[in-house]
Amino acid sequence: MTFVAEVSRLVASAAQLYAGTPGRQQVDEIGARLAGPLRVAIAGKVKAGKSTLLNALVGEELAPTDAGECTRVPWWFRDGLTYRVTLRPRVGTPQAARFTRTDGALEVDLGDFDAGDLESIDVEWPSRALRTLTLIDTPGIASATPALTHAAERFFSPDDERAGPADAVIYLMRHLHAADVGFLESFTDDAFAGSTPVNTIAVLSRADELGVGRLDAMESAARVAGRYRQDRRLARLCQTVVPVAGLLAQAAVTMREDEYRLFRRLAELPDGELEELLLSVDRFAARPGPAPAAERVALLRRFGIFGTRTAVHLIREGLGADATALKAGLLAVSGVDDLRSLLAQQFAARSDLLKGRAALLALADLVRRMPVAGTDALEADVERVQAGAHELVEMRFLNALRSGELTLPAGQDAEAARLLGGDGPDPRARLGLDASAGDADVRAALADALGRWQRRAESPLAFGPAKEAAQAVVRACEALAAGLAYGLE
Amino acid sequence: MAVGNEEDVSALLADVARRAQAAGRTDLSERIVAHAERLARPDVVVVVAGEFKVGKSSLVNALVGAAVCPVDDDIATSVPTLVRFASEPGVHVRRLADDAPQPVEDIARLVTEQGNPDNREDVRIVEVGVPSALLADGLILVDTPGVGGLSSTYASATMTTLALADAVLFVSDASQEYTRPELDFLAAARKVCPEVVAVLSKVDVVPEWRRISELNEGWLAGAGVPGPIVATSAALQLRGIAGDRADLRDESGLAALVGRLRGVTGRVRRTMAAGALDEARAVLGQLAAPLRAEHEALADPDATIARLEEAVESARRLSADSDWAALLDDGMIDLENQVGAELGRRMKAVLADAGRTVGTSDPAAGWDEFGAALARRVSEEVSAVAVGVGDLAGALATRLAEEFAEHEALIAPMVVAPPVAAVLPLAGEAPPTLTRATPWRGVLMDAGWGGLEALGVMGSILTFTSISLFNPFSLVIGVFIGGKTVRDARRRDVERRRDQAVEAVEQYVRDAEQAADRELQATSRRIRRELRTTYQRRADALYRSARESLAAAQRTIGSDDARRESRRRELADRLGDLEALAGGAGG
Repeated sequence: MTFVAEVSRLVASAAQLYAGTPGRQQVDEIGARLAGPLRVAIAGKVKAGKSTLLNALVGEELAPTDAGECTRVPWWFRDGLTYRVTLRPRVGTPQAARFTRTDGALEVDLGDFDAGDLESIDVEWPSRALRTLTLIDTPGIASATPALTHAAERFFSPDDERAGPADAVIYLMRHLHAADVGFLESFTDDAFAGSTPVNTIAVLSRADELGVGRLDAMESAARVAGRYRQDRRLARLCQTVVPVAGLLAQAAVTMREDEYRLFRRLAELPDGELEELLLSVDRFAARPGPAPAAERVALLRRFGIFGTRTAVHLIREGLGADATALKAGLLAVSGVDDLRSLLAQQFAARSDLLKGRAALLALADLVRRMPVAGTDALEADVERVQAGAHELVEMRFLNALRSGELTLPAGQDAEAARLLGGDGPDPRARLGLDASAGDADVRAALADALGRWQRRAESPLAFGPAKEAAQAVVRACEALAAGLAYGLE
Repeated sequence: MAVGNEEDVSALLADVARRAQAAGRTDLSERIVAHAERLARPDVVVVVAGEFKVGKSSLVNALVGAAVCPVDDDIATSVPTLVRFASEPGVHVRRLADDAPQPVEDIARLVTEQGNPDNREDVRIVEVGVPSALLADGLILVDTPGVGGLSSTYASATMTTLALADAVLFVSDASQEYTRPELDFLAAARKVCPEVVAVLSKVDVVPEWRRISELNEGWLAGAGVPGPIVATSAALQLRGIAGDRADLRDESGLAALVGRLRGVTGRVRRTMAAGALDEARAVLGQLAAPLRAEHEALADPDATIARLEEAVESARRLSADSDWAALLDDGMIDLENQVGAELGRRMKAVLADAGRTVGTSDPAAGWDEFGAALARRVSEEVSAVAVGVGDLAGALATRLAEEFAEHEALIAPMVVAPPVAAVLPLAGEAPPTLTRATPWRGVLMDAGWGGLEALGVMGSILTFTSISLFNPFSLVIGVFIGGKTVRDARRRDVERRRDQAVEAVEQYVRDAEQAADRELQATSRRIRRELRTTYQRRADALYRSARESLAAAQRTIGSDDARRESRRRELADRLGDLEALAGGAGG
């Protein structure tokens, strides 16, 4: 039986045990979460560009963004049949809210509620992007307004010991800051809860600003992200670090035809004139040039100086023959494409595991808090699955390797992490092969890895956690081999 | 005479020095010359502080018009870089062990986190000399490591530096409004530094920079920091310089910042001028004393001689190490005890908190981070104690100055204004809080140190709060923890690991406390020595003035009546002349 099937069975038996008791509703919630899309929270310091990135991922300017601080409560964005906004107060029953859209951004009428009274704002929005991921926009940390920081801490470290609301986390940071490390730590639980390096991706956000809006800014940002990936402190806290220029991504994904035409006209200006215009934002807005100043200001506001410079550059290089081509080019530059594929590879493919793990946590917590007849046996079952499921064992060793709690003899850490699915659960990713590698190569690499790790697992010199880790790697290889034998890769 | 005019002040100082020399009093003329020299080229120390990667180094480069501080998208400054005037560009590196000139190209290797990780080069401060017009009149810019970077021990070093600075440029970039850590830093900076100038950087790339500036001005008003915020673009300025384009230089906003810096320089100069004028008055008082003695003796020899004998005796006691020296010694011993106790109290609190953390977690997880946090905390506590040393030493120096004032009044009574060290006000102008806002600067000025020398005196503490803490720490941890079994994640070992961790923490805090105590005591001994030398010279000069006064009075006894009258008139003229000068010095 697969891991998820086993967890589903446990949830079903819990539903029977709790039938007619107050616990039943919570079991149903656990079940719904297991069946629903993966919940990914977007977290980070204040003004790290969380809402902007969310919009880029959804493909619509939904979440309000603003030069000041604007996200004061967690906003949930989930796929739905109809457009609906629900206010969830800390105390009392959820209420439907009226909303309008200004330039796309949602404006929600809070009615009698103060933002501080709300647990969350729930947005149902028919969207293809939200079908596989529910996205949660969270308040910033290190805000000058203390209430905002508290709101963020409440979200990631709820008062009671229930599983956190998110299955995975995208953590946005502008530079690596002491506050970032502290915050990542606050939702990295040492036992079996919350977020772990495996379900956290760090994003170097507003990456274009590192290079102060220069055309090569994203290359600089990639270099910085590369250095952060080598940082042990970060490796302990997240899987990887990727640079994203969120504003550019958001603007590109929603680019309009008139904006494209203005970029074209700018690209057609003589070199000297264009350069003068793009020297500073004030010049771009104030100097004589194509289109009325107001239009140019609007363009700048949406794309930023880096986006504007890049768009004009791409057109001049012949990479923006039409709006679609330019849009694709800008999205590629912004880094959001890379982030998307990373999400698909790291989160979506592992979605069942992450959700199942969250459900197990929630069940364990429920039976501890509200025991009823028969929950003793259920608790034992939950523990058995927690301890036994190979997927969880893999994840545990992976986390231990990443956090440095477990170290293997020289040079083995990286390979062990990869075979345990650290670069993605796909067989080729595990074996360190190209996505295009043929079956024969896969088999050869697998046989090689299996033999090597079997020797390590059985070596008389191996003992303790290192031996257990080698055994886990062997199991991972055997599971791969089984998959290949049945042609299930 | 108004003293606002610097030329008038230096003319007056030159005049007083000449008179002292003519009277054979080189001990007094030297004091005036020293003041005049410092006034001609005062060290005005302006610290450039702010979060990590907001463009502090670029701003310094744009201000001096040369690429002196390394700027890169990725690298960050990790060692304070002091930029001062020099006719030839050059780099001078002050290390923990020695000082040495370095090739200019080496700077990036020395002052960045990447080139010099954890300051393994043991650099204390890097001095860069540039032939920049802005710096020609003594302005010194100090580029600091960002306050929020991973290694925030730098933040407390920056705070200690601020206690010695004349102003701080607080830089934040235009992409977002102030964050909590930035506001905390502003509030702390405002307490220790006389002037805070808020600078918004990178306005060339942020369309909404005006809004951010407004929001920030709101926060500044709340924090009691005067505005307006100076909006700048280092990029436009550097382009404007490179391409010789006045329009870009105008748009960069740097001119307004230079204006604010000139304001700071002006304020420091005024304060220094006031101090120099006080000194001039004191010197004139002593030059006048023998004349006055003679003048009075002509009228009433017996009473005058009696008074002067008393003054000589008082000055002899002063010069022969009496009450004031005891006051200084007792005060410094008391200070050292207080510092030791305060340090001990703070370290005990650190240990208690660290013990709680270790007792409730597994040291195998996050030990490095815990270690970094511990080092940071220790550094903050040491920094707070160091700033406190300034408060205590400042109070002591003030008492010493008051003690001397009484003697000066007795021996050289023409000194009408308060003595040099007590206050340095400029009548009707700069409020005294400007100078006394930083006790450290006060006491260092009393000891005759300018801003740069002050940084040198504090160097040991600066180093201590920033850099050296890192090294002993990694050493201790390496020996006691890292090499052993702390990373072994088996549950049953948690207790053993905790014991080891507690042992390592205690060892580290003990070592840190000892080292900090040593540094702080060394600093206080140095302050004691300098104050002692300064005041001993002062006492010797007074003793000499008193003896010369007595001798002058005794000479008049027995001179014939006709000469007595003409001598009396001559003395009255010369005294009137000196008093007019002193009146000028009094503002």
